[in-house]
Amino acid sequence: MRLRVLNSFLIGTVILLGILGLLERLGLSSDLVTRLLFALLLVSLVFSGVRARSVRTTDMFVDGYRMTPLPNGLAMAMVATGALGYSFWPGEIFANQLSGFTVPLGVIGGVALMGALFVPFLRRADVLTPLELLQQRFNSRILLLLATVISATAILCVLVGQISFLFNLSSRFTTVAPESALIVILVGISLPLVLGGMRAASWLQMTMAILVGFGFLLFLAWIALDLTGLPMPHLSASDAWTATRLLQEDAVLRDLAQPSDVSWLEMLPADWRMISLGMLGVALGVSAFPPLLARAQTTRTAKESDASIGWALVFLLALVCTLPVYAIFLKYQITQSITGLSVNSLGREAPFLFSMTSGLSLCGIPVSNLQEFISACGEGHRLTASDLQIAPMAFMTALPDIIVGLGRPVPQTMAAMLACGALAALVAVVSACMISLSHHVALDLYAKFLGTSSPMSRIVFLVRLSVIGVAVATYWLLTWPPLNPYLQHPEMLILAGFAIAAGGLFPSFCLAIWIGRAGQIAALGAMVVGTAITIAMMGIGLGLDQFGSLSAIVQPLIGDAYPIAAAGLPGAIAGLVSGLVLAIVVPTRKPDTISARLSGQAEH
Amino acid sequence: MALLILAALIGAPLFATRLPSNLIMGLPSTLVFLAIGMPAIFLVLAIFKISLQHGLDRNYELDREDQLQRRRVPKRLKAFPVKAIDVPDPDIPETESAGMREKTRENENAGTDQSSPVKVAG
Repeated sequence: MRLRVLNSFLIGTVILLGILGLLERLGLSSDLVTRLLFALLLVSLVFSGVRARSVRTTDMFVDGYRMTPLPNGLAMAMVATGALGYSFWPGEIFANQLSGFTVPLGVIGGVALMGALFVPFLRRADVLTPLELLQQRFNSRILLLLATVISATAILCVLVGQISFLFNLSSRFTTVAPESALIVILVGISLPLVLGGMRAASWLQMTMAILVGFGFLLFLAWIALDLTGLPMPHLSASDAWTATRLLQEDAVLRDLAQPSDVSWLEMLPADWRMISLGMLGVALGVSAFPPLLARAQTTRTAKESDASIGWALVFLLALVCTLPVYAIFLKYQITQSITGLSVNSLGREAPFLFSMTSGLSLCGIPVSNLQEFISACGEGHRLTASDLQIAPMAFMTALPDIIVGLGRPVPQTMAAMLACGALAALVAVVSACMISLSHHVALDLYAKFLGTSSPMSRIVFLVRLSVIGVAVATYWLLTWPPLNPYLQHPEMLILAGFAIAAGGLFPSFCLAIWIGRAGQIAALGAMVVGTAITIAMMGIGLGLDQFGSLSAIVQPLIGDAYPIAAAGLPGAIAGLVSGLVLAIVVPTRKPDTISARLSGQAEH
Repeated sequence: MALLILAALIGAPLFATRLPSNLIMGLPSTLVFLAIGMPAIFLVLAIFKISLQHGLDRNYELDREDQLQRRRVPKRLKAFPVKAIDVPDPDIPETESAGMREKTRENENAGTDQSSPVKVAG
């Protein structure tokens, strides 16, 4: 049934895009095209809410166990990547070359690790939230409270980081103030979640995945068609890369570029620890990230949740192998158009550079006016492709303007679809984070921690209320002035969220599922130690003074590793080790195990 | 399987730095390995894990109805090493179970005692 509806949505989107393209050729204004595409997204939000409205408990928490593997895998891939994967990763690879694969591969590894360690057992436990497994397994309210606080912190970091990509999108493609766009998006996501809970989140993520696929691939196919005559970007990438290399070699012969500029996307940094530790840290965090674990609970059987992991990995593979294609095509076009240009003639030859809002740097300084460029690059300096840098966060929003500025025609439908895809990716991940936070408040805190014997109807009502509360809290956080500096680097916030999940939750889930001897003392110790070590590592990575003495010991070990990405790794290891030691030293008391508790209930 | 995935995460960058600098499908071998090879390795490991679990864990394909029926006979789940105990199933009433036991005993004694009352379950 769901596949049929998804197919209909897919066909409907294709038809709408075709109509919009035709209307644009007939003279429809580009502004109206953009608005119509954003309207398509809002219609999808409303459709999800209306289609998925429900009052059943299982629908609100686990989508009634109705998800089948393919749509669930699609939704998982959306939650794992979100706006970070869509808007940031292509720019990261363009800017940092092969080092930019650290976080994408860490996310894929994390999804695979989640499938190996947690997914089928979580599904088999028949719990409504991932933290309910910890509460049932260890029978400890303190542990549940601590786990909820850690999980909520991790989810909030990811939520705020992901949604801050909206500001770039709204300033580039709309005329509304960023705060107003934020309100519209939060209301638009909250409405279906209030109506249908997890069921609505599932529908949202599935429909947004289709828009993301169109947005990510259509624009790329157009560029490939324009460059090579074939709309197959993956097949044309090798020709574009080879052509770029030849142009760079020619530039070296003409004394315009350095020999090191010729090598692009060829070599990893010699210090491979940087990549490895970052990937491991991200993978551990993603594997224990509650919104992803909650997605795995929505299938009918444990086998289907495993199959969902397989499908998620298929979609993530498709995403990761498309990331460098964007970078290759843009690099080729920039190399072809800018190499050899005199900086004095930029105003005449490349005026588009001065009309773009932000994210571009030339000779190391942000784009502003011609005189500053001449001062930075030097009078009469002849440009090479390496002189132009694009901030990863601005890559996808700047891409259509750069392509058009370099003289390549791009239909507004394509450019608007690229933006619509970015917004769809954001909606998918924000819906997952918001519904998980609501579940924490309503079930984990109110029902389980406070121990209120409330009927499920009240808990369902609390879920609905909590969605509104979470939306208000998100708006307040995003407009809170002290947080503004961190919103300029949303990828750091998101990686911090994964690190907290790695240090605080990963050891506990491992102990709960794999170590039968572990009791609540072991789980508590693992959680506390893991979280403390992770926070200390993040403090060292950020260079905070309080951690100066620790930094002198740790820095030589990790080298130039991404400090935030790798921060969760030592926390997870320390948490696991301390949990294992406590499991051996402190024997499990029978009344603390789930089986003894059930036998006590059975006697009564 | 988790150890294999962790080994892939640790070893892949080291392997990528030692790859020869030649071209695969017109692109650098390191790029192809990171963009296609590594995700494919994770996918293969996941598929291998599913097929392994399907073969070894007889509880793998159980769905909810099957679980309800089997709860009367506790199983030691391979993936969840908590000692299983006989938990009365709230969905299967005691009277029904007693009636089924009575019927089973009656069927076993069918050849010896013709005067035993026949109790039909349900």
